[in-house]
Amino acid sequence: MLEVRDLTTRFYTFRGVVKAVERVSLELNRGEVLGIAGESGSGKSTLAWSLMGMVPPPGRIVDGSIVVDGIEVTKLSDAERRRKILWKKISMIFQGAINALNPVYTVGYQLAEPFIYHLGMTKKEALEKAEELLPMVGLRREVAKRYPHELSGGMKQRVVIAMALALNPPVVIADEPTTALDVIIQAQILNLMKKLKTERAISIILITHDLSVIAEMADRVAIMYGGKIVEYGPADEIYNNSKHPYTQALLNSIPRLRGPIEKLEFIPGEPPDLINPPKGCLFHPRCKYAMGKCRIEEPELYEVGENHTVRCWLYSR
Amino acid sequence: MTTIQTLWWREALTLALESLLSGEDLSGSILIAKEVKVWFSLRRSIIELVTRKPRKYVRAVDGISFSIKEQETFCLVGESGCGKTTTGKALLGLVPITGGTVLFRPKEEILKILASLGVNHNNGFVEISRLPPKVMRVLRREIQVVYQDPFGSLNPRYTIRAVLEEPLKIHFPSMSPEEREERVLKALEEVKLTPPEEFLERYPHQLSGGQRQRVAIARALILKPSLVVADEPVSMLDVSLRAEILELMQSLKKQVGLTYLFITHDLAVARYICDRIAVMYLGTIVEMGDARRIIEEPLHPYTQALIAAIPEPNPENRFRIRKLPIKGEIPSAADIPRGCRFHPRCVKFDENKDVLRNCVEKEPRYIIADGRVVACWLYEERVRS
Repeated sequence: MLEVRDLTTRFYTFRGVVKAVERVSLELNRGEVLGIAGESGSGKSTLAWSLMGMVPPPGRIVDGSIVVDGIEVTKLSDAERRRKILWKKISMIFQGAINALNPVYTVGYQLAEPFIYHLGMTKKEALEKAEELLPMVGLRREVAKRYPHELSGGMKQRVVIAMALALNPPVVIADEPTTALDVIIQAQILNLMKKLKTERAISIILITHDLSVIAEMADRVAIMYGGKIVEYGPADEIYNNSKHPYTQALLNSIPRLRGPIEKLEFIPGEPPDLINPPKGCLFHPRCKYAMGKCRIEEPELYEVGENHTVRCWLYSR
Repeated sequence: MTTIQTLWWREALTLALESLLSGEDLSGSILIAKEVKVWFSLRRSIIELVTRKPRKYVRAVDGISFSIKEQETFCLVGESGCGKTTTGKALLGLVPITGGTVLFRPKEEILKILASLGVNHNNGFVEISRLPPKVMRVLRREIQVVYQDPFGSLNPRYTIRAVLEEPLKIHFPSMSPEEREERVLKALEEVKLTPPEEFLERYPHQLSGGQRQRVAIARALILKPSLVVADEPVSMLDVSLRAEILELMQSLKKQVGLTYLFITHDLAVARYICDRIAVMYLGTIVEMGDARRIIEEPLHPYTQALIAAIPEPNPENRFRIRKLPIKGEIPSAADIPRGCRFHPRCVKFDENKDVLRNCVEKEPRYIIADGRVVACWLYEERVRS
């Protein structure tokens, strides 16, 4: 459905070149959910924007290919991409609670826009179509006449999901879809996304810093650190048999609701500066297993199991 | 549950207060909040004024009572809008309290200063809810706060030195510059910002989020307070840094003998660092008691829903739809439902409609069973039958 090869995105700022995403390769099959996790500044949101082809300046995609449903996206011009790809083939669920919705238009009109611009419907037809979308995400049809400020955070998030699914795209990117929401509403939204995923067989890329949320949805997980994928594999492997020291520490730092109360682990230090990244492995200054080699040379992704790769010298052969 | 007593909470508190006045054991407490209310009045439209409609209020905190024991970590847990932050602010005297009282037990030396300002105490407890600002300022040495947002809580134009010196300058104007610097350096060392000299002349924007939150903690501790209100201190930080700050707060607590009022929306975090939890819903406490027991065996239907909703890092979860025993959305605090304020969203209410007439009519009583408080009629019925 989606194939990403060696995607590299950089920001050309006055202070230097920020290597936000470096040679990321991903694959997404039909009906599959891929979770991308990482700390703030790990490049996970830039990856999302790159996939949509909407990297804000001064950033741009430097290298690599993105193939969505058989179409190479990076070669297309902006206008072509807007016409052929965005919303039809790939769409994005934004953090609705913040500012994904325009406060001066009704919800119905905002939902109708893709139908008007992409399918050339009249306004009336489009509004009707928009109203039909709302029950799918568990909202009443009347909500179409309301303005965003009249809705609660959870309802706004549902509207944003409906918007992303309006034109039935096979691939949906969800960037922190539940981050600003309360736990109960978060669970409701996750339930909704699970339901929609099975009903419509869509492929989802779920991007969040919260590994617990990813566990709720993802079949496969990619852990990002400093703009690179450091571990990539099936969800069961990542959670129960993680190999990279960073993944292990991340999992041990999550406070859990059940089981014994162990001392929480933390990762000393700070995320790397992506303008002047450390030499060798990006994680070595914070890694407790760092060896001489880690400080000099950067590891590749090594295979450690079926479809399970790790970027760490400990597993090189 | 062997000895279950049902008491009106008010009665229970009167009892507690009486025992306090008679010199009995409440000496373990450092803060007692009794029926605290914080209401914000809404503006009336001209028509409402002419037709003499009564004034409407947002009842942000609507009669909550609890006590915090010395050197414990007491947690207020709840969703956004439940009044947990307002409660914290009310205790700090940052929002005016509409009703109720707050008793606080300061250190001996502070008591002496207060006495010289004409403030009386009762067995070491001072009524702090309606003190004039001048007196409150003295008490600020005893009650300090750490806010959620380390980007917003530090003045961007102050160096770290200035941030940390300010409280000393206000509270100890006679302190010599050398002594002040020594205190500042020591405070930085305590929060593991080493070497401290390197941080003195930096500005907040030159620090990372975790370091900034450490500075905020150092600022709170520099006056050697007894009680620290920590309002979501780790919510804005990355997961990998959260554990570090929580660990630091725990070790500082042991070192100096602090008491925390920890405000969080995250029950999993509460489980790790809190001794007791109070779960809030729409301005009231619905359940209160030992942290681990509440999480293992939640009694109130709201707590049960809250716990059922928390995601866990278990990939098996992706195959199931979570059951959420709750319906609808949280009502506005300006229009709180009559009776039990949770009943319109309560699943148990639907199941036991005939038994629970009370739910729509009266606010639930508080059941006290081995130190546990549950504001739910369901348990009242269970006790009676």
